[in-house]
Amino acid sequence: MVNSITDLKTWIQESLFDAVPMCIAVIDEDFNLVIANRAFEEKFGPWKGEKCYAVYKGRDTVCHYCNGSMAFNDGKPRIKEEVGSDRHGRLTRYIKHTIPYKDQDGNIPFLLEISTDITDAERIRQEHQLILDHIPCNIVVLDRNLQIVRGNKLFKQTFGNREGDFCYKAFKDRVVECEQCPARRTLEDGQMHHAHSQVRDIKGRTVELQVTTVPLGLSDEKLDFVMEMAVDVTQILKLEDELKIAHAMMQAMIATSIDGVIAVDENRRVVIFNPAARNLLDVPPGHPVTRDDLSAILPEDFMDMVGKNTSPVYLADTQITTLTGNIIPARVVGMRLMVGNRDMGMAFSVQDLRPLKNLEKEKIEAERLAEEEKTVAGLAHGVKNLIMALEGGLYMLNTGMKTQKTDRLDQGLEILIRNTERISMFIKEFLTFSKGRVIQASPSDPVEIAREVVDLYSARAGELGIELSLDPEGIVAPANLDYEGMHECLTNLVGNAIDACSMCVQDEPCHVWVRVREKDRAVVFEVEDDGCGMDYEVKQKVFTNFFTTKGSGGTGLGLLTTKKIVHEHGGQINLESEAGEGTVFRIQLPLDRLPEAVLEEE
Amino acid sequence: MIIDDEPDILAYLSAVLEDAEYLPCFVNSDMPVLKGIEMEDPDLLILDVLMPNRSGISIYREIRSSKDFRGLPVIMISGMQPAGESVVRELEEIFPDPDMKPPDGFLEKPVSLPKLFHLIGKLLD
Repeated sequence: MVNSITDLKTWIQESLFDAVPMCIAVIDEDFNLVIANRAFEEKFGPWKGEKCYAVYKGRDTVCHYCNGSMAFNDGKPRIKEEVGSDRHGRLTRYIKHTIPYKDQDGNIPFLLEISTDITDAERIRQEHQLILDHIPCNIVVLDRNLQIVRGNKLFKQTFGNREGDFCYKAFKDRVVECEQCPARRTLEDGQMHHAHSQVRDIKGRTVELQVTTVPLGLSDEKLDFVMEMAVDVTQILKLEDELKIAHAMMQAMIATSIDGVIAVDENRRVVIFNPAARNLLDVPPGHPVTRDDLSAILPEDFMDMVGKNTSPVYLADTQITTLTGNIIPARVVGMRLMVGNRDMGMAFSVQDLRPLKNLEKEKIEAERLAEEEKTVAGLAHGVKNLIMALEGGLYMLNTGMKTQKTDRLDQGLEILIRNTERISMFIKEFLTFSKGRVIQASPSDPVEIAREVVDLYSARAGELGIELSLDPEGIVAPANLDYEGMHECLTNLVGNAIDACSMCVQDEPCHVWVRVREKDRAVVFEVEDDGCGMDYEVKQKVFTNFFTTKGSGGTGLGLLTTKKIVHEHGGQINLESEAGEGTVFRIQLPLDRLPEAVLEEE
Repeated sequence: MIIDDEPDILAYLSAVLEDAEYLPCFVNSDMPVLKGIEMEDPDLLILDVLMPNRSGISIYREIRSSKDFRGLPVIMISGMQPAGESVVRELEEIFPDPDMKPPDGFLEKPVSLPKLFHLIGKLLD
């Protein structure tokens, strides 16, 4: 045993110096390195005959604030954190203890320098601090009294420099601990805890914090510190509220929408089917609408079409089938729902077109009635002429008899006869006109109708020296027309055109052109003549009055009938005419206003 | 002078006027009205408003705009009731015009002979 201790003492005396892992060196007053241990040489490199500032720091001259100089002067030991370079020139941080060595006379011939390398520790500390300062999170370290020991950069920016304050004072301006303080609980049980906290920042703004506390112990037994990490969730909460509101609004809008709103997920399962849709499509209450139900409701292949398109697909006027098998005219829009590249499903809007179509029918009917009223007023005028003529005939008969003027008697009788005939013809035509044939539309070839009329008049035109031609322009698809009705219209117009030609005295032969075309989604008939045309006043009156250019023959109802038939097709007729140049009558029948075809009865 | 496109009415009014010892005259339909008036130099004009080939209103306007004949007495006759819209509207279009004085008489067809002669008598005095 004595030997062991002796051996140990010998070892300590002889070998400890070089075994110690700290760098130990001795310098003299001239900063020469006198003695150094192995650890020193391994760290800082060869030292014999070198100056301390050269070996520690690679310098040529004494350091500005040399601890050594000061220690030589006052004989006080010192500790300092130094930065130097190791034997390879790499940056080295170390803590140097400087201890003056006094001799028996009280002089200080040497300084003992013991250095501990803290390069790695320092690096880790800096990394640590970087992380703490850049985490988007307020971080404080609290001691057992909940006093703030240290705070990261964000904390300082948000709440100010509150080191030393109690956390409950700094965050919440309280004088006592909060009741459910997570930091206190962590200090007690050493576990992680969470809490939500509403605090005020340095600018007085209210901030919502999601707080997590973790134990930060330096010894095993007692917890010395707790780290509190608080994330500002104010923005998130605000967005959550906004999202809730937006969602609630959307739900309300979908629920109250007049149009049907339907949505399916990426598997085509129905996720939204609003009350309007249920109503429109005869869905019994409580019946969940299935994928197959929806396929049967929508037009064939519509869902597939929507699925293939990135933009909305519109069917402006189509048919949908309700669950009870009813077919309804509807406007359907479908759209794929995507988030980024991900398919989220599809949404559809279904608008019932029945009210619109009814309105259109009513509008056409109202227009027709208005025309009738105008017609009746115009007819009244014609009738009065006839009545006055009859009175005239009677007057002449009367006065002729009284004055024995046979000429007058004859004339009066003639007038009476003629006008009673006219009246009877007028009444017949008028009755036909007002009762009217109800038009029955069926797919007809417009060009064929025009051709028949032209053939009808070609002989008469030839006799009168009038050039009558049919000019179909382009392709005219069959349309839902009342064949007889349109035939009557064209007969009237072509007849008028031929009369206009025959009444007009011109040098060159007169032309009548009959044209048929499809333009702007409408069937267009045109009858043009280059006769004498009409002046402004006559043009104004052509349609609105009981009107005839044929003198005392005819009743003028032809044009009114034509107008009536055109209107019943949902179309319009107008004329262009220049006095001396000619006249064009144009019938325009928009395809989407034509009546529906009547199926032939057995 | 009588201007009306219905021959039977022309014949009737002629007979009536002759019997009352007036002299009826006419304008040919292919002659401009002012020329006809200049040629015949009538003391009074009976004018039908609504005619298929020529507008009575525009003839009236012509007459009232002309220097020589604006003072000619004119009685308008019409198959439209005075309440009939388009005639009144047309007349209203002319009448607001300070230069255009309204017709001296307006009678509805079938014309009442006593009323006609009353007007003629008044106007030719």
